[in-house]
Amino acid sequence: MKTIRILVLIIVFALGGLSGFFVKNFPFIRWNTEVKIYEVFQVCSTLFIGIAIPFFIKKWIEDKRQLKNALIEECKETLTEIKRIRTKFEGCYSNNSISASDKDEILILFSDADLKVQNLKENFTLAFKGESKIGIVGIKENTVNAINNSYISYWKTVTGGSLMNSNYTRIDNDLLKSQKSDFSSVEKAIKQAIIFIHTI
Amino acid sequence: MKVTQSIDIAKEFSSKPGARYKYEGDFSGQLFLESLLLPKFDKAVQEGGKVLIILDDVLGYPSSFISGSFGKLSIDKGADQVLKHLEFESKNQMRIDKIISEIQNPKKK
Repeated sequence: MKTIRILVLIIVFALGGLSGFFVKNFPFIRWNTEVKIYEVFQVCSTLFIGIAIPFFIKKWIEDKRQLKNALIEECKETLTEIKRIRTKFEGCYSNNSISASDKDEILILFSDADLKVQNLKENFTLAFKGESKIGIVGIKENTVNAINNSYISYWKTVTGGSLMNSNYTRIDNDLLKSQKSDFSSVEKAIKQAIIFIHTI
Repeated sequence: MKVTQSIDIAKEFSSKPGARYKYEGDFSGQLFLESLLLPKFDKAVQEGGKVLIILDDVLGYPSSFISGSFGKLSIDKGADQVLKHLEFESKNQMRIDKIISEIQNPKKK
C-alpha cells in the first residue's frame, strides 16, 4: 500500500514535468505565462485534496466504521449467548419440569455467557480508550457498568433462589416473571450500547 | 500479604457446586463454608495471610452457592475483612466479579 502511494506520487510529478516540457517546447496551446500566486496555491491544493482524500481520509473513515461494526457485532453475539439461557429456562417452564441436568445446562450456559460479557466489556473499553471527551467517557463507563450489573443481577435471579434445591422440579410463575424482567434489563443495556456506538 | 492457604474448589470440594443450604442438596454453599472456607479463612487471618481460591474446572457457580458460602462469610466477618484475606484465581474474570459482588452486597436469607 505504501509502495503504491509512493509510486502514484512519482507518476503525478513525472506527468506534471512531462506536461511542462511539452507545453514549453511544442507550443500547440499558448499559455499565459503570468502566473499569480493564488493560482499556484489553487492547483497545489486541488492536487493535494485529490491525493489525500482517497488515500488518507477515506481510510480513516473506513477504519472507524469497521471498528464500530465489529463492536456492534460483538454486542449482538453477547445478547444471543444470554438469550440461550432464557430459551432454556423458559423451555423448562413450558415443559412443566426442570431436572438436575437442565440445571447443569443452565450453569454451563452462564459460564459461556460470562466469557462473552467479559470480552464485550474489555473490547468496549479498548475501542474508546483514546476518547477524551468527558461526555463520551462518562457514557462509555455507564454503558459498561449497566451491562455488567444487569447481567450479574440476571444470574442472581435465575440461580439464586430455589432453582438449585434438589427438590425444586418445576419452575414457578414468580421465578419466571423475575427472570423475564431481569433478562429485559440485560437486553436493554446491550441495545443501548449499540445505540451509543452508532452515535459516536 | 502472602498467600498462606489455598482451596481448589473443583479438586477439594466439587466440580458441581449446588444450592445454598445443606438441606437443599449436595455440595451446598453452607457445606463448603463449614468444611473448607471458614477453617482456612480463620487460619489465614491468624497467620496474617490470604486464602487463594481457585475457581476453574467447575461446571458453573449458582448464586445460591456463592451466597451460602462467600456471602455468609461476608455477613459474619465483614466484607472488608473477607476481601482482605481472600484472593481469587480464574480464567473466567466474570466468576471473580460475581463473587466479589456478592461479598460486597451479601444477600441475607
